[in-house]
Amino acid sequence: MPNGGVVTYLKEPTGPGVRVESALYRGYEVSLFYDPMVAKLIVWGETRAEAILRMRRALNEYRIGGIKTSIPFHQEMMDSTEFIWGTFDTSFISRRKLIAGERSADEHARIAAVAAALIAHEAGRRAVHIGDSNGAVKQSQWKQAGRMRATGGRW
Amino acid sequence: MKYYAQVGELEYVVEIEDGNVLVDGELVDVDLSRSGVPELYSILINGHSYEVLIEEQRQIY
Repeated sequence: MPNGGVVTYLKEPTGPGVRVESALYRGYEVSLFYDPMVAKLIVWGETRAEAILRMRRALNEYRIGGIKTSIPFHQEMMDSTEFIWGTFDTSFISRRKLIAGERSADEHARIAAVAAALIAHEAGRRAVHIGDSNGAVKQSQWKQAGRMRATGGRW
Repeated sequence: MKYYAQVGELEYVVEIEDGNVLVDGELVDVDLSRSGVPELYSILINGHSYEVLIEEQRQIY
């Protein structure tokens, strides 16, 4: 479900037949005290199929970081044969009720854990390399300047 | 190197050694690469592709 928070990353979809109505920007705080709708994504096509394809592409391009959004829900809806054929009814959402969403929550947590560990590992390795090169190759230029001043220009 | 990752209420132990990644002792086939957009990564886990947005805040990802 969508939640409040600060938008840390934003990339909106563009292109023919795609329009975004939104007041979001990077650093914007989505408060809990107003309408939970933070943006409207509208697509247009000559046919329903074209509109669905455009909506799929637009949803794939839409990136909002820092807050949870209903983009995954809408992506799932665009992939639903019921929705594509237009044979859904009022129980469509409750039936789907994101069974898949519940199922994949643990899987997504596991992916997040692996990704974070890999990034931390890479950052640690980079820090070691930087530390090595600083120690072995050159000293701080501030220290060098101070030493030069103290020794009257002699090394 | 062993990492303890906490995601919400779930905890995982991720071990990274010699290019191998184990999650809670289970070997996983994983590949992480940058997408070209800062903070946005592409990750392949056991043949499935995902896109992840990773931000660091004082060693919290």
